[in-house]
Amino acid sequence: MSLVLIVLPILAGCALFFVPRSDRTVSRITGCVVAAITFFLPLVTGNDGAISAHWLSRPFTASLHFAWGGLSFWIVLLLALCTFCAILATNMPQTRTMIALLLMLEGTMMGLFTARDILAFALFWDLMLIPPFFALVGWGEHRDTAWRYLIYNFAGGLLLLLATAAFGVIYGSTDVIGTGHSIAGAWAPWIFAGFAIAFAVKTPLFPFHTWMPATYSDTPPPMVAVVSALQSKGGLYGFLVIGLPFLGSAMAQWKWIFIIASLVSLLYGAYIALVQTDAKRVVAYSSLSHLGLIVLGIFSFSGVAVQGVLVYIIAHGLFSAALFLILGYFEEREGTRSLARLGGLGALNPKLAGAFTIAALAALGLPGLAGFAGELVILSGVFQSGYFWPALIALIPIVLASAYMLRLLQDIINGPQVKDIPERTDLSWVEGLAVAPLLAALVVLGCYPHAVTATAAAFTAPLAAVQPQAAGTLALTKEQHDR
Amino acid sequence: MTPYAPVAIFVAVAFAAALGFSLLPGVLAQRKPNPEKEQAYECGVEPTSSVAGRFPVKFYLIAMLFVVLDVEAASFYPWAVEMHALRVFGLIEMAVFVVVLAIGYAYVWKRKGFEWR
Amino acid sequence: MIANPYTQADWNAVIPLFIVGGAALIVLLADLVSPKYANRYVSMAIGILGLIGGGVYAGTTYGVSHNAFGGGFILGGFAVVLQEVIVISAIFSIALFGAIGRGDRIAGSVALMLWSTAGAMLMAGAANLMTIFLGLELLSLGLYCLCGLADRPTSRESALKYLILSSTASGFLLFGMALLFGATGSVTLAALTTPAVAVNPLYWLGGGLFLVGLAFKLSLVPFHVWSPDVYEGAPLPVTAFMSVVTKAGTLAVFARFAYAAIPAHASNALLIPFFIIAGISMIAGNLGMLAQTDMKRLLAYSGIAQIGYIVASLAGGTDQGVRYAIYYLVAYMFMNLGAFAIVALLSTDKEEGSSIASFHGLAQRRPVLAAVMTFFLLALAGFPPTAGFLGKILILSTNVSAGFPWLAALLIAGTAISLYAYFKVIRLMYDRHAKPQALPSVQAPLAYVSMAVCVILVVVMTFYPYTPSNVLPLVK
Repeated sequence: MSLVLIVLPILAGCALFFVPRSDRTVSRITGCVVAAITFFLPLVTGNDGAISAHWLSRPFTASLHFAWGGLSFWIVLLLALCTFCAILATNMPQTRTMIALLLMLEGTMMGLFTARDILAFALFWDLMLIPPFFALVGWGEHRDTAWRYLIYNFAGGLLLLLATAAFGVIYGSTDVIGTGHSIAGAWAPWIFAGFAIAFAVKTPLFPFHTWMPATYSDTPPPMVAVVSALQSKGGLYGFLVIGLPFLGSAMAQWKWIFIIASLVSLLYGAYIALVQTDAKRVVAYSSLSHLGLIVLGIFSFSGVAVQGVLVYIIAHGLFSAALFLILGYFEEREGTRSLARLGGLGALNPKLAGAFTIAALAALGLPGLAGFAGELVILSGVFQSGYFWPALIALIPIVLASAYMLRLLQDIINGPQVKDIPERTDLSWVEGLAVAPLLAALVVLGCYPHAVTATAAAFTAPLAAVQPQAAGTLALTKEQHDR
Repeated sequence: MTPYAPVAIFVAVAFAAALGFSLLPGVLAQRKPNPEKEQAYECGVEPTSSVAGRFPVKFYLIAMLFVVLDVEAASFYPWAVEMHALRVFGLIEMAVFVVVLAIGYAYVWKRKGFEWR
Repeated sequence: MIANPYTQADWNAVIPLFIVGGAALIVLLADLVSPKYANRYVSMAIGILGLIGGGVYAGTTYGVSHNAFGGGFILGGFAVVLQEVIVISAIFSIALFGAIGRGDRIAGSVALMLWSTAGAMLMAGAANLMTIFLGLELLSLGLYCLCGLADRPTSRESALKYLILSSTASGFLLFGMALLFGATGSVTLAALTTPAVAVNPLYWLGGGLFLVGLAFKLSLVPFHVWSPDVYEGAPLPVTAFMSVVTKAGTLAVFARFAYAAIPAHASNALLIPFFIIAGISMIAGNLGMLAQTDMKRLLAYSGIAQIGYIVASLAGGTDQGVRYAIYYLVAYMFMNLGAFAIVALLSTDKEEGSSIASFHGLAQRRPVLAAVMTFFLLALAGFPPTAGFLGKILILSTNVSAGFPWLAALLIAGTAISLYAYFKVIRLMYDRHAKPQALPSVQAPLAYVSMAVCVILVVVMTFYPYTPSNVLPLVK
């Protein structure tokens, strides 16, 4: 069944190229229906939709093996939801082509997040670069952005390829995600280095982040919503399902590099977000900061932090998609993203302003919304596992997050109205429908994160292998939770 | 080694002598050039153009066709020498060879390769 | 009864060559008997039928392993696989004549191409120095003429350059062969493995020169400078032909030499330099692509790098190395020939559409062609889901397991560079601001067919990565 998640959107995307170029209705309906199918399919099927076909037997065993169990389940839902919302929000020149690209992006990322084979994972890792590349080529403002995006990420993809080949040769099989045991030996740190650089580029983590702000600000809003919400999670997902179970010892060996890089991302992203004047870039740099927190959570090897990581992965997907979509609405209305030129829109568009406020509050970690749940649990996990200073440093950007998000709100919604604004329409019902599920999910997940944290059990054993006390802490928190 | 020593000495002497005869005049001879002396000697004619001048490309075509046929003709000799050993099979092989040759010949002919254009 | 001095193996070895070479004669005869010139499709059809016949006959000896002509030619397994690669790429190249070339030159071109194919097929099975040289010269002689058949000055330049440089390379090769023969007293590859030769300086000199000659033919850096110029000038189908067939033939010779003709203790010293230049080719070939303005030159440089990958797969002399080299060679064949088919579809009778400028804004004019070209360029860059992706994985893993991680690292670095060059073309095709250009109206159904076949096979190969199992031993 999981093959449907991959093939259906890609085929639908290809099919859309046969409808007239100027079409809007047919492609929107098709896109929404396909995204809805991919959303409800995992929900209604009861099983994990596993499907497997033999692929390679030499030089190592590989299968085209896909399933949506465990962490994948939530990411698949998030992906389908974000795609649905993005397609609904698409309203631009060449809507048809954008929707086709969005569907292809969904299909390829479904492949990434459901892959149970590292080679299949690597295949979709590269493949998912193509739709955003064409979006940048077709709609981007600067010529070089598409390049930077592609070359950074494909270079990472090549290291992933090399690491996959080495992993396969040493482990004998790549059909291993969700099973297997840790590998050790002289090669392990190098294999991990290959994987880790690819993941760090994708996430992005501090020294590899330079492609990200330009890409996020140049990509059209529907595409960037999905890219920022899901594509960046590819790296984090990789750390969780490939890094922890198989290369845990190598991860522990190199952990300080990642802890420092994640702290730098946290601080640097928050600081830059504070001074950006382009609204999309503010959100882009805030993403850098938030994802740095997730990496910190992973590399603390704490069972508690991993629970927070899972929640925050989903939460960040929800609020960044919502933020980018809403900023897209503003841009569409005002024709600019410059914070200096926007202002006072709250009075004209009260519903739009309300939606934006919810998303921004989730991003700054307001209790009751999903962002808070994730941040708190990650930080307490990091703190519990003995990383006092990193946890303390990670608190600073959380304060800064309030500052930059409130500044964003203030500059766009409040303040004096910009002159010569013609009368504008508020959120239309389609536009509202496009962000409502994301905001609702933020509230639900904020109140009931346990649904997602339950999948953390899968990481107990790998964490225990890396750090003996981790299993203990996980058990402890479960008790607390039950109480 | 020894039996060849005289030969080597002979070659060396011949070489040294030839080299000496060509180089020594340049060093020893007195040089008093005048226009008369620069002219072609006795029965020579005045050169009208450079030796490496251009000449029609059709010579190349003829020369090439000749070489091809010449080399092919040369391959008849070994066959003729061994004809008795190769027997009928050798005859058939040669016939095939000639047919292939003939097709090429006919092709060149039809394509007016032999005409002097 | 006629005394037949030949064994069945001998016949099996030469009959495919006879069929292919005979088809060339029929092409010429058909051209001869028709009142003016034979229709281009008649010549192409005879040529393709001949190739199919030769390929099918060669295929029947796949499971057989014999030595023909006293060890001069080896049947079966590896030789047949390489012969099929050669035959298939010759078919695809001939199919491109449907779009390109002056009508009165098609018959001659097809005939020459068939003879060159026969030469390459001979190289695929050659197991002795003389057969290798015979095949190589038969391959090259036809190509010298073919390169010069287009009506433009660069074509003449191409022919002359190829003649001079390739002859030089043949000179190296021949001198190397002579020294190898002098050192070992034998011309069969199997006999070159005598352990005693390793102390003979002549052997090292001969082996070195032999490999230099091969590197020349494979256009590995630093012996590559001829290939972009020759590719650019030659008619498009000839370029397509050269980019695969000469490489396949020479790779067969190299593989056989590397795997079976070197004494074990001399192997590393002789071959490591060759793998180093293969590694350099990966980088330099891809760097060379960056500055190109002509598609054929770009593909020439890309070929330099791709051949580097294939040679790298043979490092370590492992069984899987040969199999993955073949896999990647077949993938390279389809990716490359597909790209050439598209260039052919952008050409007119007068002018080949190989200038990269003719790809500018292609997506607006010919969206399908632009999409398929994108596919082939992505495949060459190693993007999934194409055979280029899986081929790279296979080569990387064989390099890692055979103890050549530095080759794997160079492959990765080269691919990263190549990405920029391939995507330069892709971005140009999808440029929104391109000025509309006149569309060449090409009637070339065969080029469309070969394009489609290449796309399908490149994808199918990814998910059904079959590699032939009985390719070893290369010399028996």
